[in-house]
Amino acid sequence: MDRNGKVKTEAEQDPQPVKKQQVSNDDLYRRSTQYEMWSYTAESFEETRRKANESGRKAATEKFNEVFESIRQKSPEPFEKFKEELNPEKLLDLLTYEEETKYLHYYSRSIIQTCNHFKMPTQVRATAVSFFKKFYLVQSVSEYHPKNILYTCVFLAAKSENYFISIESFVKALVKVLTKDILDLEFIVLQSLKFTLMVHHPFRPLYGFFLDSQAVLLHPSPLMYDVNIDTLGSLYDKSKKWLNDYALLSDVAFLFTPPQIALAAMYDIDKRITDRYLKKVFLKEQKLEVIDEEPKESGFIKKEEPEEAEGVEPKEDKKDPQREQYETLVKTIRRCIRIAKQIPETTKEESKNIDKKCFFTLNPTRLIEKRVTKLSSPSPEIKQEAA
Amino acid sequence: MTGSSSQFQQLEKLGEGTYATVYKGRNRSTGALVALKEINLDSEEGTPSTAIREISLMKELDYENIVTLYDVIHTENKLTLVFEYMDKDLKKYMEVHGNQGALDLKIVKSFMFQLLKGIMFCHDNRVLHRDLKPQNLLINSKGELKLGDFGLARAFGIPFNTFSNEVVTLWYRAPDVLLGSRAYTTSIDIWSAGCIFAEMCTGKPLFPGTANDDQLIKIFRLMGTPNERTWPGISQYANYKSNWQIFVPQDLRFIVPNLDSMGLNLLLSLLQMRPEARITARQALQHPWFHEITNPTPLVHQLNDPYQQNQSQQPPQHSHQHIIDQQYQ
Repeated sequence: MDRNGKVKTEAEQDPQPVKKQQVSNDDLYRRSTQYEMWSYTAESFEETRRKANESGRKAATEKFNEVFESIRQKSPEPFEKFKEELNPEKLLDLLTYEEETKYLHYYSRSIIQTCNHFKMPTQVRATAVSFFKKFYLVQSVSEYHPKNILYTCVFLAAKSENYFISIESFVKALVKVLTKDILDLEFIVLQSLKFTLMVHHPFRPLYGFFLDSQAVLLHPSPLMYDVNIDTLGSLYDKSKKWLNDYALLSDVAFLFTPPQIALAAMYDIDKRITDRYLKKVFLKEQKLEVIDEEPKESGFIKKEEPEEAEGVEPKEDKKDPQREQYETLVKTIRRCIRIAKQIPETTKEESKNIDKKCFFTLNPTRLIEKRVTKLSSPSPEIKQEAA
Repeated sequence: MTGSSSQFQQLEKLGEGTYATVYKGRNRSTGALVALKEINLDSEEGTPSTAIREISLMKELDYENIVTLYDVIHTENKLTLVFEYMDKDLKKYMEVHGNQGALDLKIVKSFMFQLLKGIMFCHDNRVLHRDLKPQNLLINSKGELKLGDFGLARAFGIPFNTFSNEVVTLWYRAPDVLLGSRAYTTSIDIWSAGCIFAEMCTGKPLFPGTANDDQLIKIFRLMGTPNERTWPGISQYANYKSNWQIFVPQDLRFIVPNLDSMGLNLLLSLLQMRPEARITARQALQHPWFHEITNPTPLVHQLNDPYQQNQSQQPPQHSHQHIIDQQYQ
């Protein structure tokens, strides 16, 4: 971005960076493609998804019409005979936005199962889910069936995270997937991801907070009578699980920064300890010795402003900027927790139904022929064709 | 010639990268020159993971001293990375413009400054280049130097000690890597920068070793054979030998005679045997040798006392970064 920076002005700034010795993880995040290209407000996120669904439906409709016309031209009789039933409007049953959302959630879960099956590290699993979700921010299941996209995302994530698995051994363990299915999709996925493959996950910041909370809450002497290194260790472990269970599957990665998500995990697991930690860091009850890593930085302050207050702490000294910062953060964290837990549940029957719809959307020929066969079942000619 | 895709006209071959062939190309609509890095797609494994990682890193590294990746194009069995066009690599530049390879000190200074800025940016972004050599440093007609070929680069955020030790081209490889260290860090790029610095001054590679052991001996011959006293812990390295021939450190003045004493001081800071002792890219950029670049006006020069700056610029280097980087497995 700073490509026009002239050598002279650059150089003039250089002699004084003494104070700024290291680029913080927060700065790093702000200049990442994840922040620049894949961060949304709740509204813009939904809009993007609706758009993807809409353009998928449009493409599917066009494809359907094409197929419909060509079948009708080949064998016009049934279309004459069953004019009422065999019209595009009636036949076409596309996935709605809500259905697509549910469907994608279902497949996000299978990414995790797939990665676990291959015993892939957390990083690969999280990156694969991120790739998958990003892909469907741009594309729609009405054009690309999620099953093979899912496998392609896992395969690409493994490469990207430097966890080698050969395509042969990968495909061998999967059901009804060919090498070609995955390799053919590889570039389409890369392109849909706009070639941005670096993903920042909340696991690193969580580890940072784990270390920092030790420094803040335990040293020089424990702040809370019942909190020791084991308590914090257990909080860390549970938070990691929380990230896997909620953060990974929900859409929070598109709406919050990795440190915010990490704090949401801790806050939801143990509000008392986490809140004490945050107060200590932000409200500076007394002089602190804080590890100069993620905390304290503007990484706490998210891209979008929080919408509503949710009964946060009492607001006596509202003017205090530190308190305001703290309150904003807690609001953000709570909102993150709420969104993380909004993972749509789908019944088995519903999934089956969506699955069927998706299949026929992607295979309009089968849909039309099936319908024609059904309507004119005595006709052996069409039956043959459908089989 | 046939183009790699209709958008670009493929011109002459520029070179072979680590895993690809690079051609000069011309954008058919704008006429602009580009570098086309063609990667053959493996029918076995699809896009090579080196390409995936290069794309991944280049997308994040948007900086004036790092070559820009414009686009990625897919054709049947090839993937083409479209990079900004640079006239030559440093090796060629030295051949063409150098006095038997040796460059004018003014140019050396400018190139070193830009090289270190590029390295600093990588390191700030938690990326190791791992393969710095004159062939991978690209120069354009404006005299700008940019780091290219990130085929071997790595994000070093997480697993630290699993890198293979078969990376950096032998001549620019740091002694700790040659000794078998797998847990190496940003300091390996700094060593390479030191080697390149000397080579630009003299026109000859500083340590043109032929094999791992020969490379070490060439380094020892100049820098002195290390021992437990000069390098505590050296005997723990896999390739350590107790019967190395003993060399005493040479005075770099005789090796790089045309370099002034300030420059020699910087060179020595880059070429520290112990990785922990090597200067960081950020520190190197504040070295007094660069003062005419960093403080172009005399007034600023006076205000910024180099001695004071040097004192305040020693940061606690390890700090928490180290802890954070150990991370989960």
